[in-house]
Amino acid sequence: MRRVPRWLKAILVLAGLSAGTWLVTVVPQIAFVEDSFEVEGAVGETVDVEYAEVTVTGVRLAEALYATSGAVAGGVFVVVDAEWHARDGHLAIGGAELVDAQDRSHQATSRGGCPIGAGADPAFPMRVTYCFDVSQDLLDDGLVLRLGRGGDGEEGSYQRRDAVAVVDLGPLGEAPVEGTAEKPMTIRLPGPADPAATQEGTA
Amino acid sequence: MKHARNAAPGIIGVAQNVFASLGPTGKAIAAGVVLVVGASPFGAWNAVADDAIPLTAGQVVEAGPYEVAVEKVVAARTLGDVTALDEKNKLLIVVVEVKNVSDTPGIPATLGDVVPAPAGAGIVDVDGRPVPDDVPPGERPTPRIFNIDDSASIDVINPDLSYRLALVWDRTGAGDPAEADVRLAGLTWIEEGFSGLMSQYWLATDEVTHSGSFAVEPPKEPGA
Repeated sequence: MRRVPRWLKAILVLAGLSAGTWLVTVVPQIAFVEDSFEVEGAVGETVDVEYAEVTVTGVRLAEALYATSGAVAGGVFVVVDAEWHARDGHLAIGGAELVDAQDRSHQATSRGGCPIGAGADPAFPMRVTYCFDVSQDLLDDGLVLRLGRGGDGEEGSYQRRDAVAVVDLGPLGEAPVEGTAEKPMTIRLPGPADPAATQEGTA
Repeated sequence: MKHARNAAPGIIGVAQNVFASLGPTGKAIAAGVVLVVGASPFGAWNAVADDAIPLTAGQVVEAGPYEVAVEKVVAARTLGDVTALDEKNKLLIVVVEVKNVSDTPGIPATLGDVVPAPAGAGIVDVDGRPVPDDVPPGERPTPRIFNIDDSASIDVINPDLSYRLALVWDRTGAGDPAEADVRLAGLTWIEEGFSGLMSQYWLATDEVTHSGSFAVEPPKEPGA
């Protein structure tokens, strides 16, 4: 039997490795293992995401806003008020994004001092306002809000295999623009949803 | 009598043994493979850059996720509350119109990769040392970036959005440049990083694609 030259064996090994690499790229990967567990809700409705209850209490539009400094929108600010009530322990709640009708993600901004994250505890519900600067052209086709614990990594990377509240904000094209350059919308910093539930300390 | 070596030959020893065992054809192929693999990290497969395309004011250039148009270049001592890190230095400001034409949110910091510090304008680094004009794009100082509409910094540029931004560098306080060479460099999309730890991001190619000489507007404030 004729012996196979070693250089041919080496080429066969390399060809095998290349074929394996090619297969990994063309065969569909099991994407769902990274998907979030979506819990759908609506504005004004409390969504149970296991680790917390979250409620979107309001959606407003602004051309300009002010929390700790002024900010003017490149498009229009979609301002989302939410309340978080953590269930078991302290939560970092920074996973906020808007998804447009073309399934594109839009990140919350910290401009003007808007919070892009906050903490929530079981002791009392926490109020957090998120600000998104998006193109006005997207409002008519509707936007969907995704809220989860963790950060705001690329494509919801912090929310993989974790529960996420998905709230359809619907078309916003007809909504009034409240904050203007002359009278910016005031954005409240995160705090207890019901200030009366907490007691101010005395010196 | 030969004694077996106790120590493992190591990967280099194994490679030497394998190479020695190959015939002339195998050695030639192995040498070729080593050359190809060895040259890859040094850009062996990069396209050879043509001369940079002339850049003029208002010309829209697509770079990575952005469409960028350079509006003007301005010399100033201050920009609102913004001053040079060293008070004896001044500012060079490149005003750009930027639009995110991609499907993902953009990080303004990548604009620093797209618009490297201009040449011929006395740019200094954070330590106040002059930056020679031949320093490549990836090693030039990064700008501070401000949204002109609200004079504040900007953290994200969502899809379809446009901003008029000021890209600010420190420059030497000795005199004001008449012209500055503004260059644009490319970005390339990385779907999955080599190590697998990072994915889906724009990586600076540090390759100048456009270049143009812009008249520098002199400072308006007295004594600047």
